[in-house]
Amino acid sequence: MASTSSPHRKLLHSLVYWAVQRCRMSESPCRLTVSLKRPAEPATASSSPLRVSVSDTGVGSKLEEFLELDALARETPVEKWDGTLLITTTGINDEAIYRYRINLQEEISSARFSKLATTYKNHARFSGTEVCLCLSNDADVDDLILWLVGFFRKIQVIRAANLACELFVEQTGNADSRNVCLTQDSDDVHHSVTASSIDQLVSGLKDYTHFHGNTCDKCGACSLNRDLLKIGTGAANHVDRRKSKGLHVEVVIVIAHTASDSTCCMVNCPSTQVLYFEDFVPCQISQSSFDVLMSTDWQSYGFKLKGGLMGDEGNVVLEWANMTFAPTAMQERQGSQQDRYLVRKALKSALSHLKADHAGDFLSCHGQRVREYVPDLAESIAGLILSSTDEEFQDECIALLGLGSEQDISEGAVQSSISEKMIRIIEMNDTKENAEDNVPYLFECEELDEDSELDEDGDEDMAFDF
Amino acid sequence: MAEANVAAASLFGVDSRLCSADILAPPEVRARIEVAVLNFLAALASPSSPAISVLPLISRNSANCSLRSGLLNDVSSVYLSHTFCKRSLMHNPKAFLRVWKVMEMSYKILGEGKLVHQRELFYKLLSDSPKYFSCQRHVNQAIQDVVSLLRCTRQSLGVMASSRGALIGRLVLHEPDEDQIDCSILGASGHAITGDLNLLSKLNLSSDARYTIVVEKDAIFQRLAEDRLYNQLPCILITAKGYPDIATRFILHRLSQTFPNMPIFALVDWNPAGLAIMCTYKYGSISMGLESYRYACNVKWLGMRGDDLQLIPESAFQVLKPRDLQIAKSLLSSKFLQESHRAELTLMVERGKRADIEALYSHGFDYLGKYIARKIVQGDYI
Repeated sequence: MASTSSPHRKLLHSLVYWAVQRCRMSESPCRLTVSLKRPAEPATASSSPLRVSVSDTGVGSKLEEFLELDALARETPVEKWDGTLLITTTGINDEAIYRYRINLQEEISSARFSKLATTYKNHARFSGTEVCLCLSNDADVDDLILWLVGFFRKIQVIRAANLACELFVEQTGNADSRNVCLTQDSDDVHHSVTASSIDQLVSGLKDYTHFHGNTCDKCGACSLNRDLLKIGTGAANHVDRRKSKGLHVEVVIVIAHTASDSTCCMVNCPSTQVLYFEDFVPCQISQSSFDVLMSTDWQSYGFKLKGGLMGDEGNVVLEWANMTFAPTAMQERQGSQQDRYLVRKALKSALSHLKADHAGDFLSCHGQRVREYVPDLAESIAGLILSSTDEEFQDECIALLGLGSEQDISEGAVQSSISEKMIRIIEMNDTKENAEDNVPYLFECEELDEDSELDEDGDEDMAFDF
Repeated sequence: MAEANVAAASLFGVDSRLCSADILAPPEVRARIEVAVLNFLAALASPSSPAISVLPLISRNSANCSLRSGLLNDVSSVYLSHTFCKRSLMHNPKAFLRVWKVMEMSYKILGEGKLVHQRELFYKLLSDSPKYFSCQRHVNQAIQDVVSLLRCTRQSLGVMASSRGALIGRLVLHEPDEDQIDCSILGASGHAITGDLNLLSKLNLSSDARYTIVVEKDAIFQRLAEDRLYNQLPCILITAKGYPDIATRFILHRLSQTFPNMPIFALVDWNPAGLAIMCTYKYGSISMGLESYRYACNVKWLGMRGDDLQLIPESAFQVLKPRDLQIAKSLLSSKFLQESHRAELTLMVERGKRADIEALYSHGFDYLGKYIARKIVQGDYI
């Protein structure tokens, strides 16, 4: 998929992916750094290349993963990437730091790996890997950098425990060099090691919404509204005893409250960006997960899905028809295989969580429609009560509503009281499966042979209406 | 209030399955509405399980209707039993609201001691709540829902339907404290029947007629009235100008009660709708089944019938429309159609043709009167 994606991006994606996995396998805090040095001159065929390095302080690499780049190397024109990687790696128990050059363009397999000079550690204990490569400095570099920034922004969302990620982009040889520097905020690095991965996700996503995706500056208006964000989380997992790996899916939904007085123009945007991660690395969303998104019963939570777009980079944007809220992001994280059922379960769990925490806000579409009729119904009943000349009847009604024994209760107060009670009941029963079972009848019925629901055009009776 | 109807109950026999709408005085209806409100609020405010109550309405459809025969006479009527359908806010909020709005209106109308026409009620509701009542049908159906819910008659709710009915002939009507009306000296449009059942029940009736003839259409009624048929044949002519409204049925029933030896004949077109109209006078209707069973009468089918078709030129026949066939199908599958009527209906469907009574005018404008007289004298009715 995403064959339109540039080979540079695929390459960097893979290198970062493996770096993240190596960090996760390490038990101590790790750092992952991507650094890009670009020459200042405009792109020409003979200009200096882009120097890229991906380094991490995770467990040492066994080099096997780099062989997976074989196919990519063959697809990529030599001018763009010469297929060469310079790898420096050491494991925690290794005595030395090993250096290798891998040339994936090399036909002869024995000539692919060359071992370079080894440096001894002298009993120092550390581990890590650095991968260096050169990419062509062509016209797409700006796009690449933009993508990389977005990619890192997303990695920082996930906040994998014990992992700090950084991105440095330097422009060399120019007086007014534009540098990009993305580091994890210092307060975030201190996030508790014991916090669950889902909590990290929530925290990361909250920050992400303030950045509105790719930009580097926090939106001031949204930072203030951080506490008004509504969050729903859900998880599902499956343990396969035969394989030692289990499959774990987590979903976090963040909804920003739309405020008409907000100075932020992004707030009222009727679309949702979906961030999808696999093994803690932002990835292309799988087709089955995308299908789950499209086929979820959003209406039960009050959302009307207009459509969903899967972009080139595997980004997904969901568009909504009705907008009282603007969901900003959602993410999933899972193991190596996709399981549609788990994704659906986790998503549903996250939505239910949202609904449970914010009762009235996520009423299903049907519930919202019914709720619209409540004021008129309350008005009719209140009007009936207050038109009565029977004081005893009125007093009894008012007592039932718990309105106290003030002398003059206004029709408005009675109406509001009835209205509130009805709305609360509608919200409570909204997506309860057995809500219909125990609804009381207004009058007791002798036999309860239940007929089907009366429809509006029923009553054929010889088609007459007297 | 059921005790007041003991006489009527014994006439129809004891039947625990019959559901009836009571004829009640305004304070009693208001009391029922108050109970409805209190029950609703109690459910809303219940501390343990608050809920929005569902309205149980007696089902007004053919599945819930049965036929019962009178013990002391030949009158059979259609009645509704204890099968309910639910009106729930969650499933159909508009219809639910309509019931409450009609209850609210009725409560206020009765409180002011008024009686309003169904049509007036429609305009009031249309102006107050256009969102819920955009046509007369909405009002009529909501009223019947309230009748089903509270089990009291429409008129008890303070609503009456305008009557389209008229009568003429050898009958003197005497409203208490009013002048007498001699229906044999009226113009061809006859005496308009009021929609107020209460008023109709207070009328004194006196007659020397030997027959009552129920006429389907206004044009035929007027023709016979102009010809003063009732001077040649001692009879009372009555029409609802189409589908029988409750008031016309009511007065017909009163005639049958006051003059038990006066047979009632129906003069309808030869088509399924004509037969359906006759059946409504004869058995009552399903849509007002909670009330109309009281007013069923032993009506006999005089004409037009299959045997009369030879009197009509071939050109006078028309093809049965899809609507006619629909009505025929519904009648054929009903429980109350007697065998001889069923045979006539089957003939209609088989032939695929229909004919209006006016087709008899091919023999001259005075032919109809002679036709009627001959049939009655010959006992040619079923």
